[in-house]
Amino acid sequence: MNNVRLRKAVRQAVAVIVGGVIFVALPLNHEAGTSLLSSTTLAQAAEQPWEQEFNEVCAKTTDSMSLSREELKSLIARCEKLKPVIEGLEETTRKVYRKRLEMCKNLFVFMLESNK
Amino acid sequence: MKHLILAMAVLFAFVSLAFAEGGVKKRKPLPYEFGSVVIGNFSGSAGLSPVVFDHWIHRSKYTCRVCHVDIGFGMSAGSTKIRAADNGKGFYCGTCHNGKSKYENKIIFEACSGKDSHKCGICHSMGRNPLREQAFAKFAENLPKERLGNGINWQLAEEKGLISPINYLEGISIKRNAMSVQKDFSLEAKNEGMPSIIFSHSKHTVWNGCELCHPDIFLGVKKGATKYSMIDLFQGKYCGVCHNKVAFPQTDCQRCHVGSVEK
Repeated sequence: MNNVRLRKAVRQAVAVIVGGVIFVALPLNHEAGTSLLSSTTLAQAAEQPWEQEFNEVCAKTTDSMSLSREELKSLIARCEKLKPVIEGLEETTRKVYRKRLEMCKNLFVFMLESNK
Repeated sequence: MKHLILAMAVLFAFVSLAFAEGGVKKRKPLPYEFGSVVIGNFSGSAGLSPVVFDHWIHRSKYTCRVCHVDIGFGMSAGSTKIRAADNGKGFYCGTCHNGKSKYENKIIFEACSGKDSHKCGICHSMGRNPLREQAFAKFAENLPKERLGNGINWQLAEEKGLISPINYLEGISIKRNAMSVQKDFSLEAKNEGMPSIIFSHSKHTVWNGCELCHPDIFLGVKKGATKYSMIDLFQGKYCGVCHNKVAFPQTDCQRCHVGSVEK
């Protein structure tokens, strides 16, 4: 009888531990960009500091025609600063944001050269 | 009449040149095929048919900018090298095709991520989707007609509110200020008797933004800095990056050559 109770208690303890590991491991994996939940999108993840900076810098593309040379230079410098951060990201995130960053940096460079 | 004959002769010469480049005359795509892109970078190795991506269904729902700037799709077929794993992580096709996102309250089907192979055939459908033509016909029946391309005047369809392409995806797109509308400008045609081109920035930026065209497609902005020729355009440069492939074809001369005839 005691043996049965002991086995039941062990089973319950194992279930709690396994459940806890899964609960902790999923968000950790998600942050690393390799979510085990295939339907979890980047959109649902919390915004990282580099993303905030990226969004702030690249939001200026629609204003690029009215920006001064100094403002354009500052935005280009911020793009340059973001580049190594993006190069350090997980493969797909890196590929997507490398292209997106290049597009907005190239536009600022283009506007700067057009304003000469 | 003289001008019309001249314009026809010039058009014939350019089209002939464009076809001569490839050596073989390409079959003109049918309206439902116009703008279709075949993507097959990794399909063969996965034992799947290449993907047939129909621009018409996507462009009726989203602006060019959402996909080619915010999501990061390249501007030529196969250049993005999309992997199933990328989709599974919520990028590229998986940005919307994730089984959760909705369009008009309908869940958008999940992209093939290698786990559930029966779903793969929805997009990996090269030569295996006989319903595409019917689906297009049903979609296009109430839209304003156009002679070439998809047979749809997309610009007019949007002006009439028949389509309302989404320009912002929550969590993906960046909140940007509205653009100040630039004035249209005129480009003189090289051939005598040909009306000049009126380029409308406002018509282009509403779907594309700035960074999709500048500087990758159009490098020079100073008038006269870049010499555009119809041969370059038919070879897929400048306007030809979109026009001929997805946007109305360049054989529809009077869509662009709408200005006055230079003397």
